[in-house]
Amino acid sequence: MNGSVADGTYILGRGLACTLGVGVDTCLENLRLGPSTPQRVHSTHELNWPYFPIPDGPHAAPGASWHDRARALVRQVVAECGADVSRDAPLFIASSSLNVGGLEAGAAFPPDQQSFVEAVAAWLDWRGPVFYVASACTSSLNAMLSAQALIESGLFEHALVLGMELRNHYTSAGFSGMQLLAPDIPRPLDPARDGLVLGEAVAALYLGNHPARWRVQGGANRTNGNNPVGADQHVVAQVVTQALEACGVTPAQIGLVKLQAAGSPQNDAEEIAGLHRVFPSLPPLITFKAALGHTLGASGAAELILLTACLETGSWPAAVAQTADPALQAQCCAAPPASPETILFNILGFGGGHACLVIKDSTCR
Amino acid sequence: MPMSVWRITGRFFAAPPPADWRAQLATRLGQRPRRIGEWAELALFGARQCLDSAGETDLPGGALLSLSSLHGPDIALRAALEQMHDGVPMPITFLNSQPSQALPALAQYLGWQGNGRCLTTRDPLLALLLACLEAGPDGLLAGWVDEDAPGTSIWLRLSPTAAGNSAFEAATFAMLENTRFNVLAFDGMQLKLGT
Repeated sequence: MNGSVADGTYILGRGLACTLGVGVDTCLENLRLGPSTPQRVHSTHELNWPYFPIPDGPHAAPGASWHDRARALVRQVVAECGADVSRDAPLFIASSSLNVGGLEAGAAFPPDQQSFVEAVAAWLDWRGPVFYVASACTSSLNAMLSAQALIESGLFEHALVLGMELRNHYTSAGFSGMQLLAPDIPRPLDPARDGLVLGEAVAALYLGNHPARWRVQGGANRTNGNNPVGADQHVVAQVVTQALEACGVTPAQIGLVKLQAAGSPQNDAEEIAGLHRVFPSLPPLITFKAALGHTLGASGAAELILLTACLETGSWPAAVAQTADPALQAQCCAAPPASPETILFNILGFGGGHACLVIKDSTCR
Repeated sequence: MPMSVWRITGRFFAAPPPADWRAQLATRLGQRPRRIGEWAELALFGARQCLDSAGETDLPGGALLSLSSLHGPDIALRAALEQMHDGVPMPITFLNSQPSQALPALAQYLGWQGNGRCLTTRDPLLALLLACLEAGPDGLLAGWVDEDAPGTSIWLRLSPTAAGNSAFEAATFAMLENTRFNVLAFDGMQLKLGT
């Protein structure tokens, strides 16, 4: 615990495992190569779906049990955050599917869900308080906002946000039953977009009150009760406006928007229409869903790691701007914009969740 | 960090809930809530009762809604996993197995649209402390809901206030049920209650 009130929250460490690889540098190298091709995941009953898994390797060995693989990946991404991660800090675990892959593999139901969350904390020898955030796709962003509140209250100097969306058939089957999945690849903003492709990710963000390059300015979160499974352009406009106002930022100051844009015909259109309501002229846009799929509760953390790493290195997803739906009047930029100081970061999803974060690059003057 | 002080304007403690809670909820709403799972329905039962005790028809948009659950909708999850043996889960069963689906149900029936999340800790006081830190101008509505027997639906409605002349004493989560206390404060991470 810390006694003084902090004046900011910064990203101090990052670790990522996703379909692009294990480790932030590996993910960046593969991101530059172009969109990955999803694998086909087969369940019983001759059903199969496209899916972006974390590739097999030393930290995701092909023969490992679901739990052993999960533990190895969690330890790896937290280790990548740096050796000085405080185990006494709050730990926020953000996930939609949590341990359902383990249950499918035959593991017994734990006494309660929090028991599994605490088991993950034990993998890390964690001593601090452990929070579980289960607000579907917005889980990681909600966790970041909560971590920011704890740090800026002065109660803690650090917090770790761990987004976890590990391989399972259940989520794909559920999304398939709701006819939300694309048959082959995700096509965000494309006129031929026809659904999501889910992906696997474990992503860790170590936050603290020591100044660093990326400052988490703040954000906003809104639940819409009128549509429990999709986005609404009016709520998108409201949450973006609320986030900008909370951070003392005007629309003209936003130099880049990281979209939710997952390839859903309706949600992509609602998100862009909502942004048109706020921005007279849209800022440069980017989405990562074609590269790593929709990683649900981990997506906020995974995509924020990729975004900040891209901007630090000048890397950019290949072929992200090949096609765009003219009806949307929006297209992702083909290269990183020059020094976008203030960035808006959108995540929309299940549960009527609409969340956005404002981050600032402190190296821009 | 200055002490944050809150007036307890509404509270509802059902642990366990009454046997006829579903009938009570249907009577209160004028209809049985549609297309939501039993866990979300139990959350709605407690949240609605809590708002009623606060004398509020709707939850104001500037209030945070924070829902905690150690088990979540795991009865629906077990049912959906069973359905997977025959193919894919039914969409309604799959949705009911997702904790986040309680939020739009609460939003719909509480006439609210605002900052809502599902966030759980083993120690309920930590979730309450965090909700107080993140509350909006209209305060917060915080719930702890588990449908596994015997069942729990505990809710608090808090509004920001000044400390005034309240005399505070160190408290536990269980003491929040005592209606003698109508002011709550966090001094650092220590819960205090006052009259």
